[in-house]
Amino acid sequence: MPPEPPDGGPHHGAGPRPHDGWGVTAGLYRRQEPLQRSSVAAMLRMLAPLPGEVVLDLGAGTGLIERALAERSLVGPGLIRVAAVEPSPGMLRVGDYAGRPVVRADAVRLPVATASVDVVTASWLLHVLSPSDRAAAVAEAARVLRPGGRLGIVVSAAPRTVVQHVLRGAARRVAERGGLGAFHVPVDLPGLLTAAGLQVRHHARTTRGYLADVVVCTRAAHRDDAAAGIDA
Amino acid sequence: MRPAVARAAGPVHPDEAWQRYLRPERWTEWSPQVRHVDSDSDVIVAGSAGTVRTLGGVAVRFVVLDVDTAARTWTWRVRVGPLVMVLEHLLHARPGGGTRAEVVIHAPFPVARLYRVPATVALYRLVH
Repeated sequence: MPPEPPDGGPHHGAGPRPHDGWGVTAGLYRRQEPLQRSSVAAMLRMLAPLPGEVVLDLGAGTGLIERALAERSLVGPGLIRVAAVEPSPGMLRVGDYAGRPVVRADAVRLPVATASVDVVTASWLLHVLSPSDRAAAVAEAARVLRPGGRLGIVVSAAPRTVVQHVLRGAARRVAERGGLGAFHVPVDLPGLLTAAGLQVRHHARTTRGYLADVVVCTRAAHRDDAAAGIDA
Repeated sequence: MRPAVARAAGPVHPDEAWQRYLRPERWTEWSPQVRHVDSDSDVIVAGSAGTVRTLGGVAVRFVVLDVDTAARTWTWRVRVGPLVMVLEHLLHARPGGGTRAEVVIHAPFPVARLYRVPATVALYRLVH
């Protein structure tokens, strides 16, 4: 899912917005969604959003999460409420968010009240952010989550086989040439989650489509609880 | 799909140009293609939506995606039938006074290029 390109960084107010590298490839991005479906489905199963809950999707891209929830009839009156955040105008033009509200904003600076969301999803987002933006995005997700709220993450996993290394290398070269940023394996993720007061509850690796790590964590009632390993 | 950009500069103060943007009821003052606006909000805010009636009676549904008053920028998504465009509006204060207005048009080719013409006319009127 789309972050701003590394040369531009997220937009923080006055001044021109950075080049919309992800928007240029938005049509192509939407066509590759089938390669993300398996990992996203795993994340949604692990998150198990309930009727009445508010779900916020960071870096919504072209709307895969929103459509996946709508297809499962999880969205609607009396059911879960979903809103999407996406910074790229090109993605927002091409995207289909199943009629859910979508606003243009960066994951590192959410226009959302503190402790107001039950579930946050960051699918195919964190591994394409710079380390500093990744830390900021995780901290923002933790800020908007209610105590006990869940954060679902899908990130590109470290390749293990020769074939996986080759495919990953090719994808990385295409992405960097297109100004989309590097594909980092976010090895700093566990530390970032703990620092943000989040506890890892589930972890899985999916191999259908893109190789992915799926993580679901919960926000502790207090940050000290997470650091001490106390359940929220 | 690379976006197209339309620009115009004029003597109107950026604060006044921004007010002309903020209130949908004022869009007919500066956009010759807009005949009437129905909006669910008197002032544009992220998430506000409505319909623009254009010259020729075409109904254009819109939703505002973001509004940054400090930066004087806003973005909206418009839809006419199967055509979807995202328009980013930016206002800049000119060093000698007045405003430079810009709109970045995210639309399929050649719509983005073609829309530059009416967009430039509208921006010119916005800042004059």
